Amino acid sequence: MSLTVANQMTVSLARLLKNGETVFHGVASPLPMVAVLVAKRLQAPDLIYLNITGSVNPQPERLPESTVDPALLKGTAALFELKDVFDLAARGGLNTVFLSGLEIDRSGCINMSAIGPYDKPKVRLPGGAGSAFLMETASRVIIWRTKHDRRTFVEKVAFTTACGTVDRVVTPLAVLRRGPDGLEVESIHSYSNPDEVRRETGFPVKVSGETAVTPPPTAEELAALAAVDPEKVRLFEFRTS
Amino acid sequence: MPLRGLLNSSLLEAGGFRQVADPYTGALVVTIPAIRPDWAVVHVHECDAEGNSWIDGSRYDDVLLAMAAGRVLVTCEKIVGRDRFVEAPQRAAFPGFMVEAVAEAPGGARPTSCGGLYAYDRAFLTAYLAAAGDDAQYRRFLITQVCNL
Repeated sequence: MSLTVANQMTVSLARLLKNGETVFHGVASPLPMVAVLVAKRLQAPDLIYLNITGSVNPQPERLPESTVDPALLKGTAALFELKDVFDLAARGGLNTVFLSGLEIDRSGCINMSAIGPYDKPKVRLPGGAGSAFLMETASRVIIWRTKHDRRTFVEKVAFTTACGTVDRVVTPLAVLRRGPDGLEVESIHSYSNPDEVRRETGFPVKVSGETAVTPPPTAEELAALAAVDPEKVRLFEFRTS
Repeated sequence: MPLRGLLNSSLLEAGGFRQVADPYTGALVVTIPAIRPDWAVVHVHECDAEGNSWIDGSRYDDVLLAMAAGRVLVTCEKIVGRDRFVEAPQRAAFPGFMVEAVAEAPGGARPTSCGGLYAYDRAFLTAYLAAAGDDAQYRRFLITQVCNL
């Protein structure tokens, strides 16, 4: 089952990427890494792929589970370090950034900081890294999260780590987009259903039998996934321990 | 330091970051005060006896840390001769005059990774995580796993 989910999420992320745009992902981002490489093989060969290791359009020989691994430097002709990525975003040159959040709310804001008071939290979360900056400077943000439940998708985040240019949210159950009233369900994956999405989302969503079904991975997309990620690193984020 | 973004984030208030008007456009800009650590400890691939330091591959924030700190300690996988830097000065991530002391410490980044040489030690970090919630367990972990006693 988790391979079905990982494949659906990865191709859903890949389909959002456009040819020629400049895309960045940070640490702990196996799904975006695979999605970018799949998109480059399919509809976006001229996409400029930046990541936290500082590589530009790398051609890794094997995909690492950790996206800070120097395997992601392989094939780059120049180093474009994190500070350079931030400067690029600040001057308006970064098109798409992949981010995630422990909590994601209806407005598309994320919490990566704390549950409970910030100075004396009940749970201290890992921190937002550059998300508070990138969500206001990158042209658009794509959020992915390998859990879709009421603890994750909340009416209002307990702490607003970052808020801004969220375009889409890809989850194990659905693809959400930002509409005039906040996040709305764009399509539900073929193996899920409106009831499950409604039940697992902590804010009201309009879903019905009329809601679009996310197209399952095509043969071409599955072939690209197999070519890019033969060791199935995309499953890493679904491990429980 | 002025910074674009951060205006929508609760970190603005939590961090006590203040805003100023951009003197050219009038737009509000968040400013971040300088962080001046007394010490930075940086682990590098190679350094010489003066502290000229080479980091293989991604440098992340190591150079910034060294530049910000009052004093810098460098640990390295290998101490090499100064000529390695003289023949290619662009190898040095930062110069030796910024560095207080160096020590050769192969494996010194463990249990985290040292780019190209070793990966992070997942089993060790998992054990640390399991032990860290309890003082007695953590003490035992330090003695047996860190000090190897």
